[in-house]
Amino acid sequence: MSGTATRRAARGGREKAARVSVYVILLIAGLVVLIPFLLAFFGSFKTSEDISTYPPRLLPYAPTTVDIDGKQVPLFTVTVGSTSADLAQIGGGASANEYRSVATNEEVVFAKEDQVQPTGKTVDVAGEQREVFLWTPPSGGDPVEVYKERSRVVNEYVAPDDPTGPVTYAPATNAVPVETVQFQTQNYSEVLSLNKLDRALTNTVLITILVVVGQVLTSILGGYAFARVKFAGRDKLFLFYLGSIMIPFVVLLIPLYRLMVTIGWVNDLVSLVIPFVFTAYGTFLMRQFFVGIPKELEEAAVIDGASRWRILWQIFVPLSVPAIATLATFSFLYAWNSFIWPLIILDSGNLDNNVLSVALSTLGGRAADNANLVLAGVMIAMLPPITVFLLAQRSFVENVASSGLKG
Amino acid sequence: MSTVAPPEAAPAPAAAPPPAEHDGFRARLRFVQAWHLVLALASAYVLANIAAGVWALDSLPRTALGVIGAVGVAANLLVLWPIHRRRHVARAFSFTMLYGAILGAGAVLAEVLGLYEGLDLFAGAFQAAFWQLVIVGVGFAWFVVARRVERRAGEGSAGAASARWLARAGLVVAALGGVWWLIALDIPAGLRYVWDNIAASPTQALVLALITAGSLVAARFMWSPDAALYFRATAKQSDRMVGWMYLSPNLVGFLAFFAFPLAFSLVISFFDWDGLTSPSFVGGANYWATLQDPLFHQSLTNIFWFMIMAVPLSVLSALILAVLIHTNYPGVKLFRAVFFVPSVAGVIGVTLIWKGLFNAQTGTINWSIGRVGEWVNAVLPGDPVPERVEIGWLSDPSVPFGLPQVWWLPSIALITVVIVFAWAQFGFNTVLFSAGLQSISKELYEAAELDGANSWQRFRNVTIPSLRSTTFFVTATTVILCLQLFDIVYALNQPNPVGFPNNATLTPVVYLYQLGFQQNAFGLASAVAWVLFILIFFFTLAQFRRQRAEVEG
Repeated sequence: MSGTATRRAARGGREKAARVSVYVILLIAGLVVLIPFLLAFFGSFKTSEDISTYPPRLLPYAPTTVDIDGKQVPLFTVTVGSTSADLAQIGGGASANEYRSVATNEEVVFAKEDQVQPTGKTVDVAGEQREVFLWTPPSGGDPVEVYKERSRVVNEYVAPDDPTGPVTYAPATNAVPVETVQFQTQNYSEVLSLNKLDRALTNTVLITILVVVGQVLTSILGGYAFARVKFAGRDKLFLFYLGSIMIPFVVLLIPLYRLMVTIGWVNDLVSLVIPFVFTAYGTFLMRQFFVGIPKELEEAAVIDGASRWRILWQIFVPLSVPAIATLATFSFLYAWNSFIWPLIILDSGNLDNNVLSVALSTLGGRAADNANLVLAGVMIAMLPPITVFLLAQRSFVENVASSGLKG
Repeated sequence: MSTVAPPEAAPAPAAAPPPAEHDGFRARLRFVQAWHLVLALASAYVLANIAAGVWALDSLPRTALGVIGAVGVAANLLVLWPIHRRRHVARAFSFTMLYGAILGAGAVLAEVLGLYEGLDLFAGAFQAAFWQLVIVGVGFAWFVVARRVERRAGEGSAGAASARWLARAGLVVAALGGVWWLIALDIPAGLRYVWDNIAASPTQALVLALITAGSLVAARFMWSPDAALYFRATAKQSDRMVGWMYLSPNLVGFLAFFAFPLAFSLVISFFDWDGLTSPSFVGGANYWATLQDPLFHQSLTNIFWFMIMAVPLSVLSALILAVLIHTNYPGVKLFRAVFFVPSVAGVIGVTLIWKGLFNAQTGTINWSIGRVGEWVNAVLPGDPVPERVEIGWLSDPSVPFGLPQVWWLPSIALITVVIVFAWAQFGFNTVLFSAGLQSISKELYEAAELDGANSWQRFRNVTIPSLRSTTFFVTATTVILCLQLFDIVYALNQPNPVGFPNNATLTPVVYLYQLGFQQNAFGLASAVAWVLFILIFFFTLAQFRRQRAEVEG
């Protein structure tokens, strides 16, 4: 009797294990995708020092400052001997003596001569007689017998809540900046003013709008002709269109560039728009959708004497909103992310006629000192396509699956 | 008479007078005939200027304009005959010539008015008025969201009413933003710019505008139902004109910016051409030189190794993940979208992120390897492994894993590119596999289950065979993308010369880029493009077969 029960229990357990492992594997893959984005996101808010610290940290840290007499001064964790405190640095380049404990030979304090009381005694340090002083900590506590080790260049620190109180002296090596998580949001405005990246951004927006609108219009017209108008040579021409999708853009690079040289469009933004307004792929996509629209829907309109033009815009187009949205998403991603063509057609010296992808890759080449700004630029460049993708996600992913093409 | 069906509007009533006697019809027909003569004269003018060498042009545009002029003269004279004889072919013939004239004269007119270069100026105004455009966008998004809320709230409810008001407010914001935008665009400045261009060459502008406008008038007449009736056009012929007309915006661009460059590319691949001097025919020498160039061999070797690593990495991982997503446990569909994000985020951005992660001194990758080393030291006895590594992911041309340092083995720098590529690609492949999995019929699985197959056996004997064509398709797609690899390599290597380090990441397209755009060897670069195309073609053809089967099936 218990045989089947245990088998069922074992099966349930196995299924549970399978389910857990499916989630675990997917989660790991998801993390592999998300972690670089996450690191870049936080990196874009770092200071230029923070981005190149080792070991790397996830969150953006920056030195804390405090307000002392209306001035922002950095806060340090100052460690002298066995005491440490967060103090504000108010000055530097002073000189003070390093005093060590007679009893333990360990560093006790950095102080000026007049801050310690001579005792008249001496102590033997490594075969050398040194004067012994008495050091009384300002915070109270028992005086300590110390001797002078050497003279040091020190910075001056005060307690941030009591800036007029006693000054603590310590060399820079004893002070570690107090860092807190701070988002350098100004990175975003800074990168936009770098190499006229703001202009590249608006150029990219403009070009993308023009390419999307143009592609959608010509594709609707062409798709309608292929789907609903019968004329000799149509199907052969459609095959030719279909075949052209197979041609890699690489083959067109040289001749298209020379064509642009001939008609004088090199370095002009128009060369990024006009040649890309006509796409075989978009025509194909719209044709496929229009073919699937039942003929009955337009027959009534035909009987009413509606022209083809009206039938197209009042019946076909409203019915094809999902297909048009997909096409618009495709062309948006294509125009926004295109790289090799703007790279060769635009003169990198002319910052007014640049686009985001090329401007970013140039900036990324000089990343040594401003990797944080580059990441801010990357975030700006990525936000629109990712947003559009998430909005159009469902129909877009389905269309990719059925056509096997991406922007 | 029943076959007569004009393309637009209702058929003319049967009782209508014959169009020949139609009021003003004759005059309009005469105008078209005269207009064709004008166009022939204009074409002759172009031809004469070309022949006499008045217009100093390069050989290619000179030839092209010469052909256009000659065709224009001949065709615009020839078309008069069928018009005169009232042949139905006249309508399509005449309309085509007029369409060509509108397009040609219109395009040149746009150049004279400075519209093409005007886009650069407009981009400046567009930037100045960018925030106003953002307001329009925000207002519109607000409107769309409010409309959606209204619809969801249901008719007549209080929520719907307030949502409607919100939607209206959004529209108002968008409209006000739009007006502000138009003001900020400084349209008068744009008009001044166009006017200055007209003033600079008034004759040209006037003549071109006249030709465009006159051709428009004539074309409108030829398109009209009256003309269809007059030329006894059948419904089929009218449909043909409509079809080409609808297709034409797309087709013209397709021919100009795709078909013509494609043919041109094939032609110049047989010429030696630096873009400045006139090309000289060299036969197959470019192809021969390409096939013998050690750099080209290097690029092919690199891409071969690249594919050996990147294709399995991005295809197999995608297959596994797609199968996991296909379990349809709650929430797993979300992962498909997450995996897809790298494919849409933009290859340059993605590459720059990875460039930072791969930094030899401060990059997260090397740091992570150090942490693994730390863990190994803590767990395993024996010689400690280094806890701080500085692998030069981007700059190391050496072959890893102690393999011999020969040029035909992949380098560390190339492996880096593989990682970035596979990371950006696998989500796309996952979606393709997902679609393939969804098309497997459930009955196959049920039958297998009845036969007592366990989940592994079902995967092995049902899923894998059913996915054969999908796998093939995904692999071909990935191979094609690999063969065109450029962006990642370029952005990773900046500011070093392409192919850095030491040609370890030289890909065929990078090689082509060097030849074409750094050495101006256009003939040679075109030959490389065609060799590459032939390579890609084998994979595309296979992939295309499947796609066509789907389109037709």
